[in-house]
Amino acid sequence: MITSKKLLGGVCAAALAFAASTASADTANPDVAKVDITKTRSIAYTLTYLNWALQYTADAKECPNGFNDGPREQFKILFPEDGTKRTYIDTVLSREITGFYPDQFKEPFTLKQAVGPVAPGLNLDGKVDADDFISPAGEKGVDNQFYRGLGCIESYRGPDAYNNFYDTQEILEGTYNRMLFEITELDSLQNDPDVVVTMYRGTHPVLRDASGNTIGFKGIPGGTEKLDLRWGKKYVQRYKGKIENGVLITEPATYTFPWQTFGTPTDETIYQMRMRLDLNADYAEGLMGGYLDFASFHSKNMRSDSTHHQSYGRLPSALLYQTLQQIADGPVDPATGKRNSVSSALVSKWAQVYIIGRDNKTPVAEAPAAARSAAGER
Amino acid sequence: MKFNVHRPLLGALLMGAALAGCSNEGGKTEQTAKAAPVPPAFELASSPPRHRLMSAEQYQNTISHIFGSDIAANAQFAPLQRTEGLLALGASTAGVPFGEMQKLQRAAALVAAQVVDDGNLDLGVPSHRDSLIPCKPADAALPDPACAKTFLGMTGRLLYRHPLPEARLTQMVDEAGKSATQLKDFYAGLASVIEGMLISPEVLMIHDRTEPDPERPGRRRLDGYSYAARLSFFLWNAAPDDRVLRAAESGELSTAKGRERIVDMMLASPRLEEGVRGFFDDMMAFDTFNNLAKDASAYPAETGAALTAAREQTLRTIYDHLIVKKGDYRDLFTTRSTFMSPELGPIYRVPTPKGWVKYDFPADSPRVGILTHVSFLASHAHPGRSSATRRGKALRELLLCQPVPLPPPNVDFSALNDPTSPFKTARDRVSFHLQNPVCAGCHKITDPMGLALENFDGAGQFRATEMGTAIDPSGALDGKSFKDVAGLADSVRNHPALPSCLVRRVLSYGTGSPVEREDRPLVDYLTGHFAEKGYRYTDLLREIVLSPAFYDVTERAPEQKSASAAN
Repeated sequence: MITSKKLLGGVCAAALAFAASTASADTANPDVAKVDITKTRSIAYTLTYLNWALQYTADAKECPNGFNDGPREQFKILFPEDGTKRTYIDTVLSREITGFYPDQFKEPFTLKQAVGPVAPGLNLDGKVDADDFISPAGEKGVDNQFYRGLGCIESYRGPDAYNNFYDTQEILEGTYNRMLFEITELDSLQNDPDVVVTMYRGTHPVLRDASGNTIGFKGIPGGTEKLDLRWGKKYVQRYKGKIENGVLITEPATYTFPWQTFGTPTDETIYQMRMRLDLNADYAEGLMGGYLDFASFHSKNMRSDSTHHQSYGRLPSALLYQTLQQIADGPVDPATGKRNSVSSALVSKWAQVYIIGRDNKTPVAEAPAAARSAAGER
Repeated sequence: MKFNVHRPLLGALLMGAALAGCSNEGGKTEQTAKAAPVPPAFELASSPPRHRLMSAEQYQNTISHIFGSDIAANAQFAPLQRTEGLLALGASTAGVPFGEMQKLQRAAALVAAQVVDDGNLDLGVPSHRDSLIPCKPADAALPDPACAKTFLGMTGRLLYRHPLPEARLTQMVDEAGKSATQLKDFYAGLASVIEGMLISPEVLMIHDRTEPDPERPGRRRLDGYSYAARLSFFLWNAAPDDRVLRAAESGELSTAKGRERIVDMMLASPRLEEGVRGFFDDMMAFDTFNNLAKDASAYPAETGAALTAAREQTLRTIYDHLIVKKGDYRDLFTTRSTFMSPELGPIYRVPTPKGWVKYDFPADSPRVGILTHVSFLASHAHPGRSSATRRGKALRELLLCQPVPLPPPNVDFSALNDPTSPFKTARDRVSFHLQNPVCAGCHKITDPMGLALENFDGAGQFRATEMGTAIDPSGALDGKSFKDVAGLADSVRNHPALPSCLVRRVLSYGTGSPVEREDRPLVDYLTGHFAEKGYRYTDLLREIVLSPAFYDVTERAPEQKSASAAN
């Protein structure tokens, strides 16, 4: 069992069952020959699963006040059927405007935040602060304030949550979210003090097994990906990293990646993102932690989920945004003097692929100045 | 097949052959006299006339050639019984049961409807009737006997593989007219007759008709149309086209020179690919893939699409090596050149762009020759594990024409199947199994070469270990030992039975008759020539289809019987 076990161990039975079902094997078949990195000095992987790293238990102890209301419930509270005559503008459109411009209006509700000492994630700032979590494996100083915001929203509570389902479907069946990473200057998958990790976007869907399944969202290793160097040029990003005891650790840097849900393409940005993935010749699996630009997250929700979808998952998007502003712990943006990001972590799974159509002169995208500024980078 | 060389008649037949040579024109007679002695095994061979059921592929190819590749036939034929290593021989004893005829009729009706359809330009569907029917009726709602006769005569000749007798054609035109009157549609009338043609026994069955051989008094040969059909179904896996039928009509196929011209034309045709693929698909027993499935939990990458691609990969490799590159047949078993598709990439663990691309396995790759293709490895293995025995048996039977006896009914497989067995590798399990002397006899002729393929699991994926234990891929084949699969490939390539087995199979496939013990001199002769020509497949095809074994038949003419009786 790889990283998921180290990082998610200790969570409730439901979560454990999920972890077991999604990371049941180290490799597709230990006897079958793998990619020979001694010849290529590189290995690449394609994304097969991506969801926010949250702590959830079967009896929802982390949500002592229950789960949050969604747009429908909020609407009923704000506009009860009490005979009052109201206009469409003052009700429906007003709520829509609030959703799209959450900085302009104050929501008359309080978000029910997740509580408790345990949450999966990474120690992003190297400190152990009072509001930090302890990881399920016992690691202190875990920075994952985003979990406080999402933890009691039903549409994100795995393993079969509404958003998880559709996000995963987009990854497995679509190609818009086809994120790849390649490790180069690689000498060993076990220990290598100096490797280069390059993120790309590919063009081919995830391979499924002979039954049409994805083997716990892991897919089949050994597929081939062609790089999208036209529309995906902006996703080519390069990081320094190392491999220790089979775990890839990258240095923090801004990461912008495609995240389409419900057929609506959006980008997500995480500042100071670093990977901590268990590697083998077939799969990579683990956490990607960093400070999430919650404005990009909110924009994604409004554009792709819409009120219709948010209602199904009881996602109070504007309220969540305003709460994230309050609990934001990311770097201060010198331009605004505000914190625009919140510590977060993503659970990710990747299957080995071969990359073709590579161009050695492929330019690596540089994070936009605004993003660097927001991340406190120069 | 019994390519009959009737020994008591040998002298008389030799005399007949000499006389036939004498009857030629002067210059040619001299050439014949100076040529090397004609080997009796070659010159006197013949094969029995056959009545064979067309295969599904032959039916589809024929429809495509006559009406165009966009006409879908979707005809389903019952599986044939593999006989003497070939399904093609089972076609000689196959019939068409009622249930199958219903399916064929449905397919025929669909083909006929497509042939006469008017298309829909709004949908971008072209009119087939405008391109396939060379005339237009005066009124599309009424019969037009002249137009119907033109089209049905032309189409019937290609489907029946000979011109339709006038009375039969007239009958068909009348039937088309009656249907057109009832349905108020000229084209619907034609469709009803085409449907009838497509399920006619004369179309579905390939019947050999014979005639006296004027060049060999006392012997009989296939008539021109039957020779044309035998040639075409063999070389093109489809019915003869207009050019071949014209050669039959003109008598060109009845002369040696004419036969050579037509055969050379057919061997140069792109349609040869269908013939080559048809033969090797049969010889390699790739019909296994029609219902082959692997355990998805053991081999998750071995999808149905991957298995289909595996079959295609080997057929492409064979055609490319034998026809495009004109390579030595034996080198198929050592070549590292092949083709790759995305479905196969995860199994071979190589990057693959979309579509089929040429691919060369590296020189240090364990993949060497078609025996290391997924097609051979996966089709001769268990659903969830490899099988040295099945692979060794297939190698013997399919490629060396060496039958392996069936296992006794009470064989104890427990040592092989026990999931708690302490044995880690197939070699360990087989060794234990062979402690039973009843089993050892047969396994000794299959397992030593099958074990050399143990570096490939039941899906055909390479593995250096089995259950964590290093695999020993050494083996032996008929006295030649080797340390790995490359050694096996070399041993197979240089095995004397390899080319002679191909000759046997090609001869049987082409004539529809099994090669028997008495035919060994003929096979030896053809194998010798095959070797002299550098084991070039097209040379072998040419030699066989131009040989008397291909067009002479074993029936003896009544007058010869009289002559024998007089003696």
